Amino acid sequence: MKKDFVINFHGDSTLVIKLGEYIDIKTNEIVHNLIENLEKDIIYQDYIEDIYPTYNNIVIDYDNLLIDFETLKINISKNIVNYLKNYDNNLSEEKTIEIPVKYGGENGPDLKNMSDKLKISEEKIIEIHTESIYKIFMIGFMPGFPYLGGLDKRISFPRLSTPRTTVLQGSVGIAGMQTGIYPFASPGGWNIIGRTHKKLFNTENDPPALLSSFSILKFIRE
Amino acid sequence: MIEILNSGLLSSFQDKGRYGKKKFGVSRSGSLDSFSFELANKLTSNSYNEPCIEILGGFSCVFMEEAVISITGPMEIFSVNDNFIYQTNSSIKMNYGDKLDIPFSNKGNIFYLSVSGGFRIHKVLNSYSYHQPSDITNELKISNGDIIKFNKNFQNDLFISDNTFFKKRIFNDETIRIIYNKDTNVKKFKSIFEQTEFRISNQISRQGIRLTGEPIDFFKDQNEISSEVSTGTVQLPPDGMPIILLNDSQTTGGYKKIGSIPRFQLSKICQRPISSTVKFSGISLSESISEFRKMYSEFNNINIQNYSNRVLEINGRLISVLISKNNSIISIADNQQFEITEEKFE
Repeated sequence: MKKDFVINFHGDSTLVIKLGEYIDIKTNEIVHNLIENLEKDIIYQDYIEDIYPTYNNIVIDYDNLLIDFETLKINISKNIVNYLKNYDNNLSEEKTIEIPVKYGGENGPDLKNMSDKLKISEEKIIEIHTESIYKIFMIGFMPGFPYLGGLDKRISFPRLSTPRTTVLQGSVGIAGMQTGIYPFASPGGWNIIGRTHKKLFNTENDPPALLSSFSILKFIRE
Repeated sequence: MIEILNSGLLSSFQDKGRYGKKKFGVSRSGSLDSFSFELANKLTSNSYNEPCIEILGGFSCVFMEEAVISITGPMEIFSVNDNFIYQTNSSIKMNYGDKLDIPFSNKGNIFYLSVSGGFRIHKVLNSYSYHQPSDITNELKISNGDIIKFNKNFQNDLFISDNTFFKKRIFNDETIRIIYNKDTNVKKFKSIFEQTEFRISNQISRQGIRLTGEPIDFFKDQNEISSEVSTGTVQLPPDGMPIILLNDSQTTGGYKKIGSIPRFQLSKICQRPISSTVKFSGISLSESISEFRKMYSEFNNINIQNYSNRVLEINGRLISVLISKNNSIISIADNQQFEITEEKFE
């Protein structure tokens, strides 16, 4: 496997391993396989404060009192080159997580409006939404919030022009080509089509987030 | 225990922060001014990461048992029981019924309150830090009427810190240094950005500081993929007004990133008073790291000494005189003029 990567700094305590420029499944897959390997090697170093994936990057926060950027960059580069050589032997398996959703009505106050504007019946929107297989590219924005890829473009729909002051916990929404779930009540401009009772984040659990990046998510009609 | 009478704009428990949880979407949190935070624990002889109360925008509480506490942050003098006066960056003995008032300051934004022996609170995800944008740490937020318990193994010696380090490194109006990202480290952009005088808006929270000023209209293509942000990241949203992200920001963001405020400047930008002006100048990565290491070693060498406090009433004015162990005067503070004479440290 040959794959280019670039290591940059952001500020004086964050190192960024860039594996691609765009949102695509192949790059994201490399990000996740590589990060699992890197984590095992460096997580116990006391200069590592955090390591996490984004769509196309691996991000490492480090304590610059203990290590400087150039030294860390050299160490990490060696590790990545070695790993990419053996890439195909090290693929981890994807998990699938099912999220039960009550669609429409008071659980999905924007479903009717979407149906009217798109001229697709509510039933058909639900069918399309539950038939798709979604890839969790990363967790971010708020604790436990999944950035999902794979929305069927027939049910893509622009954000509300005025955001709601409160979107309820567990709300399932659509914004442009994105679909997602609100782990906590929050202000928000997504079109809410349903709601799940599944708790996406619980500090008592280990790991605390129900969803993890690089998993597959399926919505199930409840 | 103490009872909270006024929790101000935002009072919360903070330690050094929560590490290793960004992959779950949880940002680090932790004290915004890590130097004032650590000093608070030094002055009460606590361990360096003992949680303190971080105070934004005023605070008052009443003590229901005796304690040794410290207050650190902007150099102010403040009152106990509306008469005794003390100054920040020192420890103080509190007695049963004493009322502590920390007024809104125009010299800085953030104070820390440490109790010798430590507060009796519970960790969430391995840290005592409140995380503002989620519901996961609500018990670490402080509200009016809260009763907060602390451990009783306090130690009686009172200490005061020399303020030279804080004046030089944090509480001054020098330019704020920024490490540009690769794509913004270009002359044309830097000259516009560094010539602009911004102001700290009143939209300052644990998540970030919004600046106002002449909008920077430079980057036409704002379509960025959501990606990493961290404490100190400077974003430029489409309105052209920079945002400096702080400890409780989102873990990922989609606005244009122009660079990041290095660690040796974070306390300074967080303490810069609302509506004061800010100008930026660039700095290299290696210089930033060496400045931070220098700053940290200066902090570790701060002169801290034992003191005692005498309050005199002269013609109706209360004068607080801080006296060192060998009976020399460290400082004199007056509760009407709110002025402190230069501290004398030996």
